[in-house]
Amino acid sequence: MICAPSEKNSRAAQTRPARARERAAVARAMLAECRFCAHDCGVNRLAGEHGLCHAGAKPRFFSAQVEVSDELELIPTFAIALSGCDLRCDFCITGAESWNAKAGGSFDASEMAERAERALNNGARTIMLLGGEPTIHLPAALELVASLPDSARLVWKTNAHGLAQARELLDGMFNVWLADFKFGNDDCAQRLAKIPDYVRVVQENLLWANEHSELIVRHLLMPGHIDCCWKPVAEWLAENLPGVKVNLRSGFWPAWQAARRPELRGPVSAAEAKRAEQIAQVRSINLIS
Amino acid sequence: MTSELLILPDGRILAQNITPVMAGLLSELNPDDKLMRARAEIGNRRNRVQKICKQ
Repeated sequence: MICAPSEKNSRAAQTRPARARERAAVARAMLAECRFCAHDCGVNRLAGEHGLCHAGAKPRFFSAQVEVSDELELIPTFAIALSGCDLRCDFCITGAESWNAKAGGSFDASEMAERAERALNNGARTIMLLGGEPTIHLPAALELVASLPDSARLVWKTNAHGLAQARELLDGMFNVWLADFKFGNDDCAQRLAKIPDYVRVVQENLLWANEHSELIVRHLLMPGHIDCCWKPVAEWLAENLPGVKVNLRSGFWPAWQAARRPELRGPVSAAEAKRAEQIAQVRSINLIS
Repeated sequence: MTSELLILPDGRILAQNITPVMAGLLSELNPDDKLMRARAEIGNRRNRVQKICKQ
């Protein structure tokens, strides 16, 4: 008996660009009832409706350049920052562009892929898609992947606030998930980023990402939030994702609307940074730079 | 966007969106910053390897 290859096997044999192209079409159709992020708005972005992120159907970008600010194992990276975000963090370092999905220039996946390939040919190690938040621009993100070489090492820099249907389309598309775990409790998330149910959603995303790709978790230390935010994050990571790479960022920048919050008006103190490192050491957190 | 710097009252410099050129500059400003030196070296090394390969 001759066995025809199963649909599952033939799909597995497809290249990443081919799968991305198929999924990009699916994702674009899903804009008619957008449920990419955990706000779960269900608005018709194809018809001009806007959800909480205010993003339309056509993405824009505000930066695309080779950078060396990220994790050492990822740099130099060609970092592509898409405008708009589904969070509203008071301390956002790119607030003007992240809170405004119309900021920057229009994004053309093919043109950007050409720039990214040139960067790879000139020594970039990875291509990183970020924002704002790239999840809200999933169709364009997949179109970009479809235009990039199968061999390119791709990084998905995310706030980890996506829904399962977005993750399903992202499965196998990006080599590394570089995911934020910003707040250690829902009260701080609500107060500082206007996000309900934050912790559960992020934990769900991190557990999924760890199963489906390489995962690096980032936590930006915030002044006055070591015990309420970093400590519970460290405890959860130690218990649920032992050994996962964690980048503890101490260079808090009192930007955008941080001054609205008294505790966020300055940088992290040396004493707080030291205490944060001790919290990590006690829990054997796998810190990377 | 290129790199952005914030100089704090205590003299510390915070930087974001650091390009390889900016990493080199920041590394020269503060040679004791090992992490910045590593960033600058990685940026330079990758570019240098590429140039050698193209020759």
